[in-house]
Amino acid sequence: MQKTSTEPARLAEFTTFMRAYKDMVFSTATRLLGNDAQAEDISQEVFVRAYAHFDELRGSATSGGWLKTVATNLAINHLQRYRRRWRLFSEMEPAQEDGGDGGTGLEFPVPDSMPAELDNEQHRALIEDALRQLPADQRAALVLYHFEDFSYQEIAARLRASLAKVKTDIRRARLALRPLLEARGIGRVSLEH
Amino acid sequence: MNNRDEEDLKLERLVDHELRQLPLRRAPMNLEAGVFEELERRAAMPWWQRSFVQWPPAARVLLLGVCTILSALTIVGGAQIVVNLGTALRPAHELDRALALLSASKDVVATLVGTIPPMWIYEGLALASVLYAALFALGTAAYRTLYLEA
Repeated sequence: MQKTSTEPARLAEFTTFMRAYKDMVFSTATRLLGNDAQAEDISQEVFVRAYAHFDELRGSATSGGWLKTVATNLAINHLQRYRRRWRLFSEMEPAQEDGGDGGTGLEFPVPDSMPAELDNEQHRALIEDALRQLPADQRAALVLYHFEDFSYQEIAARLRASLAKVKTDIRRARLALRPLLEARGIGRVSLEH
Repeated sequence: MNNRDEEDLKLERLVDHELRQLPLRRAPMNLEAGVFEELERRAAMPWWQRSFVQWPPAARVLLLGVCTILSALTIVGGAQIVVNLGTALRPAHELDRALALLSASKDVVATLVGTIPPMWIYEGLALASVLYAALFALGTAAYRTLYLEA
C-alpha cells in the first residue's frame, strides 16, 4: 500500500475518517443497488478512491458530499452496466415501458399484526426490505428522488431514461410502498383509480 | 389540480417523510479490512498495471512519444500503400479480371437461385423465422426464470 509503512498516522487518520462515513456510504450504495454484497464492493471502491484523495478530503467540510457523490455515481454506473447487459430482454417486459402508469407491478404483503406489534425499528426494516425488492429502475429513481434530492430531469439524465419513464417508475414505487405505510397508520391516503 | 394529482402529492409527501426518517444502514464489519486489503493489493501492483496517471512521468512521456510516432507511421504508410496500390492496378488488368469473376459468380448464384422453387424459399424463410422466434422466447423464458426469479 502506498505510504502504508511510512505513514501510520495517516492510516490511523484514514481509519477514523472511514469509520465516520462508512455507514453513510454503504447506505447510499445499498439503497440504490438493493444488494448488500454489491454495495459493499462499491463502498470499498469509494474508500479506495478516497484514500487517493485523502490529502484534500481530510478536514474538508465537503468530504461527506464527495463520498456520497462518488458512491452514487459508482452505484449508478453499476446499474447501467447491469442494464446494458440485459437490455435486450428487459425492454420486452411491459411493466418497464414508458407511460401506462396504472398499476404498481408490486404488492408487498402487510402482516396483520403490524400496527400493534412492530416497533419503529421493525417497521423501518420492513420498508428497507420493500425498497430492496423493488425493480431496479423503480428503486434507483425513487432513491435518487427522495434520498439524494435529484429532480426528475436529473434522474432521467443520470439513468439515461425518458422523463415519462422516471415519473412512472417513481409513482409505481411509491404505490408499492403505500400499503406498508398505510398499515402502520401513517397518513392514510386513498388512491382509488 | 385534479383528484389524482392531489392524491399523488399526498403520497409523495408521505413516502418522502417516511424514507427520510430511515436510519443509515450499518456497514459490514469487514468493510474496513476489505479497503485496506485492496489498498495493499493495488500498491503491490507493478507500475505498468496501474492507471496511466500513476505511471512514472518518464514512462508516460515515452508512451506518448511512441504512440505519436506509430500514428504518424500509420498515416504515412497507409497513404503510401494506397498510392502504390493505385499504381500497381492501373497498368495491369487484375481489377478487370476480378470484376469479371465477381460478375460470373453473381450469374451462377442467380441461376442456382432461379432453379429453386419459390415455395421452398418461402418455407425456408418461414422456418428460419419460427426458429428465431422460438430461440428468442426460450432465451427470454430462461432469463426470467433463472435470473429474475433467482
